[in-house]
Amino acid sequence: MLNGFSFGQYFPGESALHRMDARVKLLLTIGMIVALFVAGGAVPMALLVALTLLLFIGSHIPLTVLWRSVRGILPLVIFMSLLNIFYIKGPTVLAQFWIFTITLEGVWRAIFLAVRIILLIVVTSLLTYTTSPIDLTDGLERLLSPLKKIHLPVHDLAMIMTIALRFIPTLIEETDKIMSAQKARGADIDSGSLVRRVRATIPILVPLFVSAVRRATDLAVAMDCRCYHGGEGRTRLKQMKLHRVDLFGVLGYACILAAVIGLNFLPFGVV
Amino acid sequence: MRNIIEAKNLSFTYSANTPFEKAAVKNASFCIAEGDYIGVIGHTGSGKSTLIQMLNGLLMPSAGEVLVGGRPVWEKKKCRRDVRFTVGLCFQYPEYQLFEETVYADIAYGPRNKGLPEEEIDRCVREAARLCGVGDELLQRSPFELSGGQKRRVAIAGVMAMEPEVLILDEPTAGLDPRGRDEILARIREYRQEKGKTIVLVSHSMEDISANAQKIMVLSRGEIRFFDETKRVFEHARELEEIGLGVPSVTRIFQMLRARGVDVPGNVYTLSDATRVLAERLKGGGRDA
Repeated sequence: MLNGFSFGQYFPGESALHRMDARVKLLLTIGMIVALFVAGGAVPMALLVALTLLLFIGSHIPLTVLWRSVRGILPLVIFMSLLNIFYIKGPTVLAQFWIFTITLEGVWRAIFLAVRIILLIVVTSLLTYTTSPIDLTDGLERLLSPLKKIHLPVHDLAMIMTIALRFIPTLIEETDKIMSAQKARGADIDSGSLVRRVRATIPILVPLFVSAVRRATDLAVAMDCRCYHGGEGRTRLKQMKLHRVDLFGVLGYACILAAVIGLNFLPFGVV
Repeated sequence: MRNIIEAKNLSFTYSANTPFEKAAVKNASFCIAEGDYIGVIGHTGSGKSTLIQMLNGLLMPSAGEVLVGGRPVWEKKKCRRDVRFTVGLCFQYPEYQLFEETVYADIAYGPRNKGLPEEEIDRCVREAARLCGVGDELLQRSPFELSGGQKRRVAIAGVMAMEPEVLILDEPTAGLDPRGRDEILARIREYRQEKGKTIVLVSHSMEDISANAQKIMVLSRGEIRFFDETKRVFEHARELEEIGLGVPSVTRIFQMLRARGVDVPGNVYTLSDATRVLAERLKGGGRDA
């Protein structure tokens, strides 16, 4: 039941995206999101779609894996697109019934929005699929390290994130196990009224919380035993270094962003 | 004896049609008769847990079918929930499923789901608690205050209280000290003597299984290698060794003695049998003893 959940899972590989420095990837992902919102017409958006497709193919991530992270957001995308179809009014009326009017502009807007959100998910998924959680949080810690000057506990925050990411699959597995155990005792989880269903989650949530707290205590003790005392004076086993692939990445992105901005000024395809 | 569970060509594949595809159980067919005490043994990843979860309708077989009391499990949804009360499954580390405020309420969870009237629930709970050695003084306490062994017994009582026809226990002694282990196994024996219900005990300890079960099912890489009476299975000592399971230590010692020419039987599987055989020999004053 919960096996389909895959957002934020690392998918090991050897592609250029995998080899890229986590800091650069993080910045480029943010850059891509900016580009997605800068793109104001069909042409620059098509360019970004092509780029994302290229990145996806280059990363050797199976389509089924990517589909799982997109699938979860689809209902929201469809809902927002529908809203746009009915709300955006333009001069070109396609259909009219009762109080609803569907215009060409609304349809365009809806498609545009759907593409933008899906690309957003795909791009961020690519980041988490091609970067191990450890690299990701290390990269984040390094990027945010200037904030240590204003006494922001950057290292601790990064450690919390690492641990949280690490335990997501474990907790999912645990939930699955507890659900099976309670079903074996006759729990009826997926039928009945709303109140009954909410009540039916108690036998799952209580043991889940208990085991999460137990795990946290165990982990804290284990870290204490290995003399963990925060980020002070801590060195790294793996030093982060920039490579040629990172340079190409940044240059490539600069070109794309310039192209997107330039194409925005084209007189056609503006939505 | 009537067959309570029939499995026909059961197979289960995890993550079918993906690169992670893995056959956990392959083409398993067997029958479990009423009143049997069956031991299921196999290494981690041999498919034990997958197999037993198909027997009470928690996992849908990729192929094949399971009949419980002659009725197919996956035919109707209603049927499937009834099956869980007929075939009681107690998972590994069952103490992690405790959630109620009192031990009593936790044991009552199963019978209440079964839809029994209140006085009937009370009877089931008290009986299961007695059978599992959970004293009356514990019933009103929080399950989270108990010791590990007590929690385990409360959790097993929670499954027993549903009064299933078949009780399946997945590694009920895992992580317990020897005394806790003996206590649990003794409780299960008592339960069987008193109720005469079918029991399936899953374990990776040959000692636990040989001392209790009448029949043994040996699983290796998702396949049933042997399913026969305990004695007959241990006759295949070499094959068991190849799978990496071996025979109980007592049996091995006796077989080694035989190899050295000492006249002892080769089919001794439990410590009590061994003591009896040796005592007889010493009394008889045999030459080699």
